[in-house]
Amino acid sequence: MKREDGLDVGRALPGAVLPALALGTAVAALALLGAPAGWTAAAAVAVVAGAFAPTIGGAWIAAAIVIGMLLAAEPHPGRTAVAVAAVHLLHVVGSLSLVVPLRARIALTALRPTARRFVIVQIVSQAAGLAATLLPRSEELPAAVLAGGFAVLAFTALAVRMLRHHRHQAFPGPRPSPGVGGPS
Amino acid sequence: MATSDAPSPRRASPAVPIGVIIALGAMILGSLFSRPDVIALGIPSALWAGIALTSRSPTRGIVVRVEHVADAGEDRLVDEIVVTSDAEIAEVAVIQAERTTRRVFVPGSARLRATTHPQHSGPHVTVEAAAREIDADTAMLGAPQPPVLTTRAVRPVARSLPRVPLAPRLTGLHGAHEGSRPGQGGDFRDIHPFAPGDELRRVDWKATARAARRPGDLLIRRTNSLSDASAVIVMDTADDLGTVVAGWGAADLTRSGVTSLDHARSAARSLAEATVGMGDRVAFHTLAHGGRSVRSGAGRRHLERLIGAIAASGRGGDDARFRRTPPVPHGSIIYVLSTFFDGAAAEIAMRWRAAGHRVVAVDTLPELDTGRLTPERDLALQVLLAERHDMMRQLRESGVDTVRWSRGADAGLASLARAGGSLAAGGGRP
Repeated sequence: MKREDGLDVGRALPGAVLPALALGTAVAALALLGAPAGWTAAAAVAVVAGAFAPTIGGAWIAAAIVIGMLLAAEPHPGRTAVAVAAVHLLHVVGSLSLVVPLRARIALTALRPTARRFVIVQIVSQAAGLAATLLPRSEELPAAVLAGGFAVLAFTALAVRMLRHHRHQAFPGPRPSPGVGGPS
Repeated sequence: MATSDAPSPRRASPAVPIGVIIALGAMILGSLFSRPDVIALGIPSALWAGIALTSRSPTRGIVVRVEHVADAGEDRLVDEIVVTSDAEIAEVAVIQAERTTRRVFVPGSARLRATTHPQHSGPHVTVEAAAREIDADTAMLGAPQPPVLTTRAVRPVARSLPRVPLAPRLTGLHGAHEGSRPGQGGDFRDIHPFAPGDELRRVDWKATARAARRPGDLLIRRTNSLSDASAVIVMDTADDLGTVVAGWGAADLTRSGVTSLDHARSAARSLAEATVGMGDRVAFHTLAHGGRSVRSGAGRRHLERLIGAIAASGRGGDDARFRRTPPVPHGSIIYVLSTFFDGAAAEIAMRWRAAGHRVVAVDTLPELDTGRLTPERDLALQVLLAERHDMMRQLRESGVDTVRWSRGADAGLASLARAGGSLAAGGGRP
């Protein structure tokens, strides 16, 4: 029956491209970071499982493994750049995968703002990452790092507080037919 | 054109707190292990969450419209779904022809082209669409809007009917049928003495010279008038039974095959076109309470009205079992289109026949596919068909002509037309 009905949205990608992109990103980043095969396999399994059950958050599990692999290795500007790009891309793709089902289609023009925002954030983050790798290392926690940490903590607390007021809206009641916003 | 427009409250997706957690975790780990590069890993997620939260301002909502587009052909219906919003992305869920469900993600303002191939004639919900806004890489989600749907009427296929039965009584002084009143346009009637009001050009001088009895007597040639006939098409919409008997009782028409209402609509259109083509008047009624009615009329514009009403006639609601008896012009020929399963349509047909109308019962039951029936359901079908057979026999005994639409109805109607010619000539002419 599907062949008999058509819906033209212009040039579009299938929703399955998102988990494929996450898988490729995770595997490539872990390979560049020199991660053991076991961790790479674990990240790949998490991404594949997350494709079928998005609430698992497979892309974020892979991002956590990337962070762990960077932590396990010595600081290096190249590795940092790869990890900054991979963690960001995995986060964006994971966010999209929560909403976009595998069988859905995404118009390429709809992804243009996402791509633009990714580039801007990457420019800022890569610069910060490069600067961070050039900082002298010390066994003690420097005051600047602590101040930065507390700033992020304060920001997080503020965000959580803002979200708490609208928590009940995160789980709306029955969806109207034909049902946008359902599980992907 | 259907439209949905509502204010759009928005909420943050679970990705926002996850982004915050990643930023926080990177900061803590980097601080604990004295690794500024690890702290830097949290920057993109922190920026991303910040952008998401600052883009939370209320919007003017999302508007979904469905516009009809000129159809590409007889078998394709095209609708355009127009989405308008301030959002970066609009998620649109579309159900086409009540059978194909799709979800697409398009820019906030977009036009989608939906093409549907209808399998049946009659009213169709071609597109049902709902949408919601999405911003900041799906970090901010709008509320789902109520669905918008659009209904299109698919015209039935018309069969060519070379001859159709004639009404028992002709009316009026205009039309295509030879009437019995003196008038104009018909064949020779008689030679008659001139009377006041007769036209001088009708004086038959040869007859006057031959047969006038007294000087000054004039004889004129009289001709018959041309009259028209009235037909009423009555459609029973209580049942919509498909070819596949195993699918009876299910609302799914995708695997039903041709249905009885497909046949009924096709028969109604064919009869209407044939009757209007002869210059006669046609009315259309459905038997359900509150059903569609088109008053008697003739001509091409009236035919378009009739076809529109026929195409828009779908299966009746729950009260369709309680039939009404529509008014019919005196001396009409009445076509009752039904499956004649429950007896109500047959009863009305016999009542009209008893009132002196000529009634043709057009059986719209399709050829049946009895495959995949359990023995119990097969037995039930045999009982139903036996009752129906008995019903059809009663109709014939009471003087109602019967034709089965799926089995050469054109030949059957032509046969009735030949048989009915003497009835029209002998009986009820005015």
